[in-house]
Amino acid sequence: MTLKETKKPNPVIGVGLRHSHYSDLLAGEKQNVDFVEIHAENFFAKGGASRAVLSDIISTYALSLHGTSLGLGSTLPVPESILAQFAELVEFTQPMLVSEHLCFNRAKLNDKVLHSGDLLPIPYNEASLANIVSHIQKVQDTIARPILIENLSAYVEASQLVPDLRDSFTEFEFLIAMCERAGCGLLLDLNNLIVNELNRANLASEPTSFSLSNIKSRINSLPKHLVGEIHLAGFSATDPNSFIIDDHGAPVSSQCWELFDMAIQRFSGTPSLVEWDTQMPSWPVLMGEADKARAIANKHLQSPLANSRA
Amino acid sequence: MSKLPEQVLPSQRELQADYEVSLISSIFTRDLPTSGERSGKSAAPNAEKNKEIKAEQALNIYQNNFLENGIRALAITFPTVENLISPESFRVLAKHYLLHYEKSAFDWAEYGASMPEFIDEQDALADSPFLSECAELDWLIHRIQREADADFVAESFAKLEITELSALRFTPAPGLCIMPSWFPVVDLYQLVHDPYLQSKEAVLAREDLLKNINKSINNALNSAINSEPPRSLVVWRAEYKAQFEYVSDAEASVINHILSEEPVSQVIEAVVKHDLDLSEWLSEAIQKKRIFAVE
Repeated sequence: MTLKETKKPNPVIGVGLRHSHYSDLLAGEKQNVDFVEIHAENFFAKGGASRAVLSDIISTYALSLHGTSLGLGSTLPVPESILAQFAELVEFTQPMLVSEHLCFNRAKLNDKVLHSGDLLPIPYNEASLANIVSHIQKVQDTIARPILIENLSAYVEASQLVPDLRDSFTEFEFLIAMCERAGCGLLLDLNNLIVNELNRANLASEPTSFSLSNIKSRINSLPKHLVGEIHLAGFSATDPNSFIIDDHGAPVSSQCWELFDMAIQRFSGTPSLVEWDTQMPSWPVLMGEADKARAIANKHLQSPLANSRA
Repeated sequence: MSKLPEQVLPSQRELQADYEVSLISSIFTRDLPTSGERSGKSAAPNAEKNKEIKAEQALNIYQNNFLENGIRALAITFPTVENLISPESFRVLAKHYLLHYEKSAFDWAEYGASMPEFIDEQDALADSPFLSECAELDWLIHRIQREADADFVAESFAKLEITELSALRFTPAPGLCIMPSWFPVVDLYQLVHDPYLQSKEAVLAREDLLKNINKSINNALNSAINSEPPRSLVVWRAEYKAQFEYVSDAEASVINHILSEEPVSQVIEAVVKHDLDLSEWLSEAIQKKRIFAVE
């Protein structure tokens, strides 16, 4: 199935579906969302209730399948058994979108591969680029379709742990090169960009002010055809001078709405999704966030500037 | 220091692998940060020191993420244990487990198999000797509810009338197994999961159940002292939800014959040997969907 085949009216707005909302989504009439996004690993069970729920979901809603455990940026090979489970899920659900992250998640210690269960940042250089490109291509060859890769929120740079390991690209240069070489698309997570920028500003040695215009100019550097999905989210407030944790535990932030207003104008019609993963809201609150995203996207669909995709 | 010749300098790929090992090992092996360190509040005397502190704070965040994700996952896998000891105590238990057992499974759902043994080793939980068995049941239920679906083929049982029994085998329900049980884990499970028992109207029923549980725990401790054998709890999945109940030693023995994939003729021999009523046993096994087919 392709986006065109779903014949959804633009804009295309979705929500991240978590366990506490399964019954809300599936009860009663079809909800006002164009698609839902699930974490692939939550449906890796071979059978049982989760498969039955998944069948109900895909019978009514277009699906975005979001992987969190392939760790494609790792120097270790792509784990065959996890890739097989991922591919089986793609085959079973025939999702509208398939995505993973710009990250690694495991390493071999004392001959044993240990797994962080988290999304960890990779360096941005030629070697790491060649590595992740080959892994993305392996996934794409296995599932016979292109995937989207999400930019990451990160609290550490590789050179802080291994000083000789240097970045030779900026994050956006790396993302663009990765998409072009691997033939994949970009899942542009606006909240991750904000969290990274806020942490840079809050924790810089010299006083630095946070500026959305820095992020906007980077977004403007992205070729329009590369962005296949946009993520929106919020983060919990922390003390000043502390790292902001990308916890997806609050309403979409004001900075994120401002960025979305700009991004959806540039990438008009791009499927856009509200994520909320901790301190879960009620379903109506989450739907309210989706409605807000729809209103912003609608505003730009009516604009004569929209739809001029490069 | 003299510069190393270029050919012996590590490649960027090797350095990346070093970085991966460094970050992963810091998540698994460093001491838990203090709350001040975790919140990231520290005055930096100079730029270099500031950089060092920032890296330290970042590693704390990754370790904390690992622990929080792990605690959430283990609470899903061991809901009875969490309920019996309280969420706060479970956080402490789960955190110790996460730092003791490295995570080598990709999927959090596959992590936690050693929790029953780990609970047994905790001095702080010595007053709750039943907890390890509850963890064992939680793990079995969790695993069984993720097993592949199977088709219940009612019409296949007609083969028992027309086919040589030594050529047939029973297909067990997904996850069918026998768990040895000393403690009243079924009552303990009911105590925390039965919605009625959580209601205000059920105060007396809850008190009665607690009395029974305490009595059974004392009996179990006496049985252990006298080296008496455990009871048998059969666990299986009929539809989407795992089922479990105590069975007699005779019934458990028959189920073990089925699990050993013995021909139906030998399973029936075991039924007869244990003085069970064959038609009653078969009808119950089919009606409760402990066996899904005969092939």
